[in-house]
Amino acid sequence: MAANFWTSSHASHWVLDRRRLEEAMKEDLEYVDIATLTKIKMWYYNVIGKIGKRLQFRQQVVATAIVYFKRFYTKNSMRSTDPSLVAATCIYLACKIEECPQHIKHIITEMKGALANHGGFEYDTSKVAEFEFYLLEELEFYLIVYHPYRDLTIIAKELKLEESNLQTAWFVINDSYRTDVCLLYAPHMIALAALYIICVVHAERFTDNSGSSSIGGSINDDSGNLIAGGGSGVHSNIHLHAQLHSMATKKGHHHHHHHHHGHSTTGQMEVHGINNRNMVQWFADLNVEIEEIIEITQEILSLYGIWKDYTEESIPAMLQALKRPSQPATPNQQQQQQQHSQSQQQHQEQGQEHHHHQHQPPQQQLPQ
Amino acid sequence: MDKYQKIEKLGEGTYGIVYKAQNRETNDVVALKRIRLDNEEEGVPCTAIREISLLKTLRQNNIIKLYDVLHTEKKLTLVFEYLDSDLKQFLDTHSGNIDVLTIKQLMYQLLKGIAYCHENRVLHRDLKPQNLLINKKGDLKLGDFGLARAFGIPVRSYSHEVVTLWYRAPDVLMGSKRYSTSIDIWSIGCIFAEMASGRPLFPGSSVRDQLLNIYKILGTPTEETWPGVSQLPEYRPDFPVYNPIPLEKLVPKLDANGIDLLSRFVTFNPDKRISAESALSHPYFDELRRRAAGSGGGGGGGAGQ
Repeated sequence: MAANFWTSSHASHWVLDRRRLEEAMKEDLEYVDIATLTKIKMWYYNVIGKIGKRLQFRQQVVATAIVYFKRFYTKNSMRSTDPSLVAATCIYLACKIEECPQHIKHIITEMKGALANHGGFEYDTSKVAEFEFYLLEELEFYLIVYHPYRDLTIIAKELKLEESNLQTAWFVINDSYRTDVCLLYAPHMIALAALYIICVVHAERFTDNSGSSSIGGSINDDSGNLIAGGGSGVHSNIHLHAQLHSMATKKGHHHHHHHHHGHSTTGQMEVHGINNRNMVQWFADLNVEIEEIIEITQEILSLYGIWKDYTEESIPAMLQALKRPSQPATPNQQQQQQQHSQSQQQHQEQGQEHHHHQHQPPQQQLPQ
Repeated sequence: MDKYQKIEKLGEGTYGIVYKAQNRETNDVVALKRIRLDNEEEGVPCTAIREISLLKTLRQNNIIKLYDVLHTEKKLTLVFEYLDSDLKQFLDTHSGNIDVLTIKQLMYQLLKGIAYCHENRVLHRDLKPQNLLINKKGDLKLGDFGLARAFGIPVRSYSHEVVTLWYRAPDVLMGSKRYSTSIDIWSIGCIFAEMASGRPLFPGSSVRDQLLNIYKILGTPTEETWPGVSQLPEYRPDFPVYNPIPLEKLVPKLDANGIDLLSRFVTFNPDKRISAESALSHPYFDELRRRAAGSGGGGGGGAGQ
């Protein structure tokens, strides 16, 4: 289904392992905890999504920009760079690659608008143009990104999936860009996980998907009010695990599928004439690593857990904690900051326990 | 830039000057394509970015290799493998007289390269003799990917002005916006005929003249010979009606198989045009396969990957 993906630079150079991602976050995690860092990143993905929406990009352009942003941060810390400059340049470069070029000026204007209440955007065209090259180098000039959307469309056709289900799966893929799955797994596996989430795990939960988020359509609405996951995230993960494991072991055997959430009896799939059990069987018969689908599904579902208490208002304080002691960083300050970070690290280690338990930055280290 | 010693200027590419140069450490001869970045307003030119990203992805014997990308202040340098000539020069120096076996070998390599591009969902969009690089051993490699694009779905409209007029497909000339791999195949057909006859097949001077050139040889297309032609944006019903001329009269050097293959390349209906992959297994190339089997390789057929 994606023969050409396997020969691509995406497959050969940009499917990473988790250790590499953990390594990349090390520096930032000395200043903020993982949930905070995730939310900060989420905020920048939203900025990219918002601009994409305003400029009416295809979803693929937004997705490519986000992938560039993520790839860049597998080699750099958020703390030592300015994510707003990175985000702007990623959008600009993605537009060139996806053949919908925009003027730098245009992107800058949009960035200024999006960051108006979040420290503004103080770079001019030459700064972005200059940074473009740095970004190109960090991306090793491997710029062609494969996305799950195409695979999803192909599979949906094969399954004769209802338009509404396809739409929901599409939204799950949009949401997946807030996680790191696009750095860790092949696109068709993500497409399968999205299908798995809507058709098997959460079929009955997705009834109305009219809400759309800033990255594009999402099954989560803008306010962070969850349609899916939420408090039951852990529960559904366990359930999912059991279900998939039984699928993997009973492969080829007919088995009964029970609705995993007793409160609903008519899943959407059944409403539209596709039997849930058939879908489970369909997944069981696939010749793919079912464990990977589990991992991706869990990754996406746990995102909804973090998303639940994500608010834009909390972002400035988080950014400040990350950028401490000097804020906000500009490229000129980067070096200075990097030097600081050494000594900062020691302070940090002492205060670490304290830090893990609360999100607001320890006051004594805030600059005036 | 000290790594490379410039030898001579080779020409001007789509977006920069090309030099022949030598790597001071390894003594390898390379081609340097220098792109001035004086347009600070818009960063690295799109064409350069596209070429770099595609060539980073495409690795095949019949596609030019991009060794390195160097960045110095206000300049971007692409380091390519060096080939001494291109098909245009090759045709000129042989006054259009290339022996049939060489034509076959070059065509095979050209198709190998483009089949690989198409398999990787990349359209070249600008195939012409100047872009086909050749070395003394008879290796042929596709170069200049400045206009190439990776094609994904959905197929959107591309700009009209992509293929040099002479090698441009009639569907593109008539404003079709849904073109795909078939546009490269048309160009390959034109190049094939040019190699065999020594002169360009359809040397038009404007879009209309280009179409007239094509119709005079292949006949004016009708809804019967090309279903859907009248729906093309720039289709004109008032074109003079020409009858087709047998291709063997134009390219007598080609045998029956060669003529058959040529006619499949320059087929009006883009959906009916042969694919690069099937062209490779056309009987026209059986001779190369026999030679390869007989001599255990050689033959310059460019076995590729």
